[in-house]
Amino acid sequence: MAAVRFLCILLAFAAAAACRRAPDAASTLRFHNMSEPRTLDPAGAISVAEKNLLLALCEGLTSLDPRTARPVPAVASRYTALDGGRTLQFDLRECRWSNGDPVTASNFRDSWLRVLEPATASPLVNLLFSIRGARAFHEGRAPRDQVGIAAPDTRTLIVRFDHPDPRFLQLCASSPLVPVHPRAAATAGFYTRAEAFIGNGPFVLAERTPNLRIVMIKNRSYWDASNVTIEKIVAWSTDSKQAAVDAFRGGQSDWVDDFPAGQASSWLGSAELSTSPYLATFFVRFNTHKKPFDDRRVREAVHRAIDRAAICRGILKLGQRPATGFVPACMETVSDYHCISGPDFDPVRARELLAEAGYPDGSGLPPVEFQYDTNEDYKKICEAIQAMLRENLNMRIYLINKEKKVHLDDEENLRYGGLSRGSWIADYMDPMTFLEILAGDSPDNRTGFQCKEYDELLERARAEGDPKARLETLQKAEEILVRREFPITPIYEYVKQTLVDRKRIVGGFYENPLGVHPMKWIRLASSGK
Amino acid sequence: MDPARIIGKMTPAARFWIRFAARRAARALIVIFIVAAASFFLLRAAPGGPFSGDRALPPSILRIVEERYRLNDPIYLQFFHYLQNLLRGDLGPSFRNADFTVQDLIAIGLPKTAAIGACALLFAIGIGLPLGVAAAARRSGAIDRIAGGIAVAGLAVPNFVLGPFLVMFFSLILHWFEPGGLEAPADLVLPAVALGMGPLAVILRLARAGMLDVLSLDYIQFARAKGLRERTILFRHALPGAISPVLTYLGPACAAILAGSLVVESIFSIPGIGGYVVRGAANRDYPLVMGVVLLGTAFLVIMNTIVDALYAAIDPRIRRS
Amino acid sequence: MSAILTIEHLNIEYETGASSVKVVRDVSLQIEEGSITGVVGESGSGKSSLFRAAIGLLPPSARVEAKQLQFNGVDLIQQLRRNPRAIRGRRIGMVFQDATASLNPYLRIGTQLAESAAEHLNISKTAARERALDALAEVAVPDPPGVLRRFPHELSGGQRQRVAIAIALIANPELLVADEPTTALDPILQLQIIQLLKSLRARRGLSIVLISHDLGLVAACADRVAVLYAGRVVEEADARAIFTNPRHPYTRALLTSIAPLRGERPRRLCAIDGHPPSPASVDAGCAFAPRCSNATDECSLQIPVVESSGGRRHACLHPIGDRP
Repeated sequence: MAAVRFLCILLAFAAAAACRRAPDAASTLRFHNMSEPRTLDPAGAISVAEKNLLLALCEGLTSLDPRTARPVPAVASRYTALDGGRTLQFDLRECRWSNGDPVTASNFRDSWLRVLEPATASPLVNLLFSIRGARAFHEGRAPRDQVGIAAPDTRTLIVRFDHPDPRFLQLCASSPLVPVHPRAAATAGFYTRAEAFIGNGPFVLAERTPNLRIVMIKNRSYWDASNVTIEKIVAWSTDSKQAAVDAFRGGQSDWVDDFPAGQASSWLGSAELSTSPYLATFFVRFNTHKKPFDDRRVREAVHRAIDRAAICRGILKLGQRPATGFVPACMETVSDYHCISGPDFDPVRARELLAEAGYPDGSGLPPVEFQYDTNEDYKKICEAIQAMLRENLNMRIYLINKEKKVHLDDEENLRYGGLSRGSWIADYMDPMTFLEILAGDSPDNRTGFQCKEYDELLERARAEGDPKARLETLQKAEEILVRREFPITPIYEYVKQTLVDRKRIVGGFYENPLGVHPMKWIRLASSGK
Repeated sequence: MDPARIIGKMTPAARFWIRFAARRAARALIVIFIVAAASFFLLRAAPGGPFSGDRALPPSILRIVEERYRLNDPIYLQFFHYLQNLLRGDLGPSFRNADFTVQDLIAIGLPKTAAIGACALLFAIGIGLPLGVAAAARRSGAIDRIAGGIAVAGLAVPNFVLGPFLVMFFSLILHWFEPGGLEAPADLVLPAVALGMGPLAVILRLARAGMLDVLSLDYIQFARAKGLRERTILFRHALPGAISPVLTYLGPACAAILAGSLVVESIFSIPGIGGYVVRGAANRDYPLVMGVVLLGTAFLVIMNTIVDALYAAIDPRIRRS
Repeated sequence: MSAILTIEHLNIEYETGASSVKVVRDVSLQIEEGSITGVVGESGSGKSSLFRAAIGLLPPSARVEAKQLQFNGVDLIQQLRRNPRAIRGRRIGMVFQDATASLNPYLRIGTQLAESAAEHLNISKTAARERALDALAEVAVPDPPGVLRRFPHELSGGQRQRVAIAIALIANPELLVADEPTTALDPILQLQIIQLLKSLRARRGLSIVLISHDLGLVAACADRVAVLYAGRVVEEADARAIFTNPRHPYTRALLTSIAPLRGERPRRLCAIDGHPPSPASVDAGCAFAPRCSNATDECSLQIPVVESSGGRRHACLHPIGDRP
């Protein structure tokens, strides 16, 4: 009797299982985009997840080559540098918005001015500050018509700069500089409802379910639509890397952008694992307002007492490079910048420095708190550093993990006890994207480090017309960071660790130093598995 | 006509129900206000702001954003504004999901949470109650033993263990169900089981214990002495008394299911309002957390009121107040 | 007069784990048709178990053995095994001590009356309602239509017991077993219920078994009285004979502890020195011997045989009025 009931329950289960969902079509790309985007408004986009989506939904004057992440012509068919690089002229090709309207030069001008508008509160507004008059307009010191963006006709855009900006063609592909349809501001649900959305990218919005997925379908009005083979994209959002990996294993996802570091060994050697150098650095911040790290010798001692190679070999295992400089070495592959390395692992010199600072063999050192945001991957690295500093400097360190927002709050207010974990991912392929954050007025500084010489070098680089001299100036700045002042100590350079189902994704998917994958180029196997 | 005279003309039952409704409505408003105030101030007491991130906003931008959301006003003023907007039915914008208002998000997430919650509750009652009654009716029989096993397992295995186990067994090994998402009706099954198992175990035990208690009462002996059929005795005479504890538990069961949905939704990747609370709290998305907490409170208040109403409807002694 | 219920050599044993407890030992009793038979004993004397056995209401752990258990020519043991509902309520009605607890608090009086009628008489809903009204009128409840709509908690204690009796009688059973029907009531109401039972017997020719620990109450209405002690019948006789001329010392002790019926509530029976034995501890000899003033050494060694003479019987080695 009871057995019969149990059987009935099992049968009901099986019956419910029978009405399962239909599988996705072969021409549908599914990928795990990790965290839910904050917004699809290009002016507000800031995270990697948002950038991934905006690459599909919008297109700027340039777009990124999927192999190299270098800018290639997109909406602009041609760009010409005039006046020694102080003026850029963009010739637009004939393209249309997804609703059929033509994409015009004034669309770009208006979109960029909107980003500069203080009320828009665009977080990456400073990417536009090299444009003449842009910063003054944003800060309310100049009127709108003083900004050096002009649209003399519908297909020509002229941008003027105070100083040549070698990054600008790259920036044109990034989210704050893509055009937004004029109707966006006045349309309710423009970024959430398929009917309302109008874009100029290779795909358009088809469905948006917060915390689940964003579905995009091919944009028939896109100028290069004949080269787009994917019909539909499903971008899953999840906070859990593990859930993403599970879905990948279960065949629900063709590509997962990250996975828990602890699984590195189990994926090593798998055909699905793809790793490549990534413009991102893991580092440790010093609270330079707090003893003993107010003394640069102590900071250098810490820098020299960390065996980075051991961390990369023992914990990370996916080919991450030990970093002694802030700008990752792979910057050299995408620009003419020559990276600066700081001092190597040298415990003997480290102890000397500590003694010079008045702490021979670590005596007299106050106990130090090492704070990080709760995360299993970070924990292992911080524990290794803790052990090295104790071993090599006799420094007593307490690891303190805090919830992310609390950690950020402590960092911003310099409330952390001495050391704090940090990382930085490049916005574009130029050392400035790293060095900028340690400027005295940067909200991302969070070390209390304030160096006039450093800030002046950055200012000089911004104004420098000659690209070579500009990069040399930036090198000098980086030298201050990692050879002299040590407001931070770099630990390692990231690799982009991606899982790709190569049976599904058969072409157009490359690793590049920015870790972006423009979906326009991706080719799927014609028959799904 | 004079309202007092209308009330005077009513039957005692009608008067009871009117008084019941009035008293409950007043109590509900007070509860909701207290919860609103407590969560509002507690949320803001947590360190860290809604707009901090790996990349800090430029100070000028942060100032604009904070002014827009009045985050720099004195906190009591902020609360006052929140209440004002609440009375107008406006729950505010979501900080983290900037393209949506809190109403939008709830409208999207609530049906999903409600679907798995309702399925979980139906599963818990639909299996727990009959099984408990059957177990009590044939005490120490085969069903009783199976029921005992289910009850122990349901209470001992928390949903965050059961959920992944169900995924492993039914999705990854048997391939009967998808491991996550909410695309087809079948996707409701595993989350509902994971969510409903705990309440099922409690209902089963309450129903069994309640039934055993009632079956030993004099009025059941008397019903037997009257020569009634065993089925009549079980269902007409014993059940109403036996389900009172089950009914009393329905309020807590709804609370348990609501709380469990926070975990279960994340296990099964279901984009319901449970996830909003978790993510909202992590992101300091004050309006979103407030909106969902108030919704949950209102739901629990309503459920408890319904339970009490059912209680009064079943047990005539309660209506004599 | 013929016997409506014949009990011969009935034993009831409760299995409790490995051991078992005998609560009724070798009881033989006849209930005469149309009579009121009082069954008297302290709690634990087995008086309730005896009659619950007759309608099969004992818990599953009870084992009933009898040489004979006949009701109007029907073998009750077999019939209860085959179809207990043909007996319960239909031919033997039963009411319990506490009518408040006997009536289902969740159901209206009308439902509780009508369901019995519908169950046994196979009649329509309206007919069952008519029958319920008649039954209420018969037990002299005022405003029967109003009472039908009420819930048990809306009635007084006396009314509730009347309603319980009405329910027990609704299918016209031949025998009513009233198990301490008045214990929960005050003396005035007790008397009214006793009057009611008497009038029912007179009007319907109903046979009644009145189980009570209160000999005084039984004296007020019973035709015959059986006294139980520790699971055995120690004396049985006409009511008058019991009161005027008790033969068993236990009966006499009971009589001396009677409170006046009108007046104060009856005091507890423990006016007899000592406590009734626990059913588990009775092995040999007369169970009453330890409390008996007439007891001799012999009494604790030998179970007294039942002696019957002149329409009465007793089980005592040294009956009163028989002293040497």
